[in-house]
Amino acid sequence: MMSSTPVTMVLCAGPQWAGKTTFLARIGEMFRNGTFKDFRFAGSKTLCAFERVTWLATTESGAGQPDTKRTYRAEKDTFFHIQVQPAAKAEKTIDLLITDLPGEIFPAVLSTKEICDEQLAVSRADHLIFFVDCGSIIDKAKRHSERDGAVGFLSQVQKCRHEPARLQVTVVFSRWDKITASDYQQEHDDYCKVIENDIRQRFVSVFGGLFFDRVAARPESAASRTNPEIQAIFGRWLDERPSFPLPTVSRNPKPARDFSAFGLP
Amino acid sequence: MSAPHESEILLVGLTGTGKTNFLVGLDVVLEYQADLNGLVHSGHADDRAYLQPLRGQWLRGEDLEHTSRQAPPPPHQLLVHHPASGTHATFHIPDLAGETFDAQFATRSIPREFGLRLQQATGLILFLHCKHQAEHELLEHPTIIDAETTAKTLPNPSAQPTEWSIEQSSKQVKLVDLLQFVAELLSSPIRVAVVISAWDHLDQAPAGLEPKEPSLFLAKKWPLLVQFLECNRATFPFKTFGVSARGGGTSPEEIERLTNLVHARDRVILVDGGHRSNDLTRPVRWLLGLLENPDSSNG
Repeated sequence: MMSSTPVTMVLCAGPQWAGKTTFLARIGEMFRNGTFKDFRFAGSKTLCAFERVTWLATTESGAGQPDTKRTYRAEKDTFFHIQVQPAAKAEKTIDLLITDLPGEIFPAVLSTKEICDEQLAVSRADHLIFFVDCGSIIDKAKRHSERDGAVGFLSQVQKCRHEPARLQVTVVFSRWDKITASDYQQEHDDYCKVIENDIRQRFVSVFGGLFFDRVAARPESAASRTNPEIQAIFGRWLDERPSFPLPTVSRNPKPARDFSAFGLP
Repeated sequence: MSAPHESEILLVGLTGTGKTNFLVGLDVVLEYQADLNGLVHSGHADDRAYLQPLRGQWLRGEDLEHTSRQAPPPPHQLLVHHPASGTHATFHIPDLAGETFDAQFATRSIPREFGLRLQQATGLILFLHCKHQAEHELLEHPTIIDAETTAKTLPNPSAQPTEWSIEQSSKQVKLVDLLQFVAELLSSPIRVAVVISAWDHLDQAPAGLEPKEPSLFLAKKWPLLVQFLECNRATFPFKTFGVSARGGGTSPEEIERLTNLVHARDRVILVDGGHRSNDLTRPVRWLLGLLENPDSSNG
């Protein structure tokens, strides 16, 4: 597919239970129930995959409360495909391939560059969505590890990516309803801002774009619904990719070696 | 008078969406057409072994038997004439069981005969039932459920869910997938008349509850399907119709009401934007390009 048509690839990464698959399931649900207003669904080669990840959140499943079947390691490098048209530009069709890095691989990617190098989606992705789990942020024993994992993963990606400036990064504070429902909401919110500032300082000049969003894909309170935020993140994937100027070097007519015709000694 | 030409129109739709009722109602309307611009019978096909008994049932107001996938109906034809343009046509309208299309989603294949007919087809009539849920209902966390909802039976939080299986996919996803299959087999665009069946239910619904204009109803209730069709209009030019081919329910009172009508064709309800009539040939005329103002597609 990628050889026949231009495709935008999106990688969702983050620790286990951070809500990566739920986020993807929610995108499918929002298309199916018509929530997306700025984009129209034009097709998908993975309709079954979207149905499967949403199943445990339907009444037909018989579940007592909504849940998401998590992604397992064996499913790595499997993709969700969706083709969309911006509502304002009906002539333009965009193919998206979205994958999530199974949470159980996350520690290995964090600790070993070779494993990060092996993740084809990391080297090819146009957009990286990194999930910071607010379920951990509200736990003082876990929040520092959560922050460290985010910084560590982005550093690893910086090292593994050939051209990190071609990568747009969105940091999603997921399960945001955990913070809004907390008695210490302001404190947790402030801590998220600390993480945000830290990441911004370290990586703003590294990646092609750096964005931060607060998302509750399947919130436990109605007030926490974040459909507009999800739509904004999705819309970013459809934006024109930043163009990079081609090198201006000209061919040396008499190079010492053929391979050095373009400026190497 | 133009020479007769053969046309293939395919009825597609999941189980219980009114394909057979439409076919039989169409046969009756062709015989007793009241619309001067409508299609009429130009004769009876040689073999009516499939349609004739169903027609008898339909006229008596009986519920039609479910089309069997195991014993598919024999081939049948409708010979039609369009007096307004002088066009004659022979329709081959295979009445495939809804299970055929349900199975397509699971088996990732369609019957070979259907594929061959598709490549010669003039148009598709895509059926969906106005009372069918396009989409699975999403669970809410117990804290979100409001007072109105609590009147219903709440799910047990500790209930064990069933495993997902492909057959349990939602209806609009199955229909989109079917159209994607169709698109891969086509060499040229094909018109799609989207028929929302059992429209009598919507007629009887209180005002303001649901849109009573077919394209608005479709956009509200089947958003994924509509968006897919809109994005792929170059492949699938489409128009939406609200139809009740049988005209009402199956209760004894309803059957009495239907059979009390002087003309059986008057049972039929056909809604197309602001147009309302009993002319069940209207979607077919649109597929053939014989509908007045053919460009006024309502989507």
